[in-house]
Amino acid sequence: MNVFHDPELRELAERLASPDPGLRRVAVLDLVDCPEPEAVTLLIQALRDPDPQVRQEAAKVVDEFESEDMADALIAALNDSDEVVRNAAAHALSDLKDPAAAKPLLAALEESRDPFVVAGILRALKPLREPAAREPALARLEAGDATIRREAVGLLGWLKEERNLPALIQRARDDDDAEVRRAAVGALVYAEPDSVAEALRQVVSDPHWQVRAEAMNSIAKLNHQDSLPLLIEATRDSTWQVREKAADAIGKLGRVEGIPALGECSRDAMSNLRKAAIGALGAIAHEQCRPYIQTALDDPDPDVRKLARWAQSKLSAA
Amino acid sequence: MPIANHHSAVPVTVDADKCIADKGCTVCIDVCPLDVLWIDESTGKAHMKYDECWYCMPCEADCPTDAVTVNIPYLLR
Repeated sequence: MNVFHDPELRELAERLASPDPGLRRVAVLDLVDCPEPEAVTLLIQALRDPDPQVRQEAAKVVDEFESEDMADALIAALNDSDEVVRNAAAHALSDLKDPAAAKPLLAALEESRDPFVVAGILRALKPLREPAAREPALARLEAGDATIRREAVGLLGWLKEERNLPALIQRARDDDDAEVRRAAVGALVYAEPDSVAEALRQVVSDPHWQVRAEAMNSIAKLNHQDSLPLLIEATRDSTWQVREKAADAIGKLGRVEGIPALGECSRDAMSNLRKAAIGALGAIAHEQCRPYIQTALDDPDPDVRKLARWAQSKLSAA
Repeated sequence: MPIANHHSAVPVTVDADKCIADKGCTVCIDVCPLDVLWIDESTGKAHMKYDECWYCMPCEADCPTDAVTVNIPYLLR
């Protein structure tokens, strides 16, 4: 057992060494309030406690401590038998963003079979943007478990490498899981717009509305002007969330040709969509927008009216 | 504040089997803004000593063992 100079820590260390798991558990609860930096060594000790409830309690509070001091303990906790502990460890590791953690994480990835743990490690690797993670992530794109594929897609997106685009496009188009497709569509935004234009053209007719909505977002982020016809078509999508994102995107592209479609949206029954449409019309700020903005000044929804006033001021400034 | 010295139904009940106040836990006692939760000297477990409650819920939400239940009166629900 470590010897601490701080009396509070010494007392906590004694309680954490108690044979009674209940006492150890309560000691972990008190550990959070201890301001001493050395408290983290006690937390690491608690993460390795034989009692799962003590480990759980420790896992719940890992966020309160500097994660870099306990990277090894967190990686070990990724293989804990208790799911709460594993989850907290993966979560804390993804906050770590310490390049030094990449190596042990990759090693742990190699070892891990449990889908939950694999997904957690991939999520933790993502912000590190570690080039060596590319190969294992590409391999995980074929994993049977959708959460793994989803995290692998996220990781490859963060790497922002041109050569990963074909794999991401394939996921965006053909994955069985809507959430994986959505993540893949969102990950395409680092590409040269023309290289993913064809893929975006295909995913805008995805059966799942969240994928379609994400495609609208991606077109806006890529500022892909040639996709304007897709956006205009999507303003008539059956799901209003997609129509809303399409209206947003037309505003971001700033295209006068989109004004009639936005005008249509500004009369939609769904107030969120009217809001997006007026916002987009204000962003374009063209003389043709004026009648729609004028009408929206009397909209029943106060948010829409507020935005209409802003749009009007943009018009008079233009 | 009236002291609840005979047994009656109070809004906050503590499951003594789950409560770990005897191990040194004071979470519910610490979070209560009205200071109405205390440790029962005879059992070492937490209990509602004063029958006052804002139904603010942190005692129930923060209890590490889910031992605390706050019964919100029908008219407040």
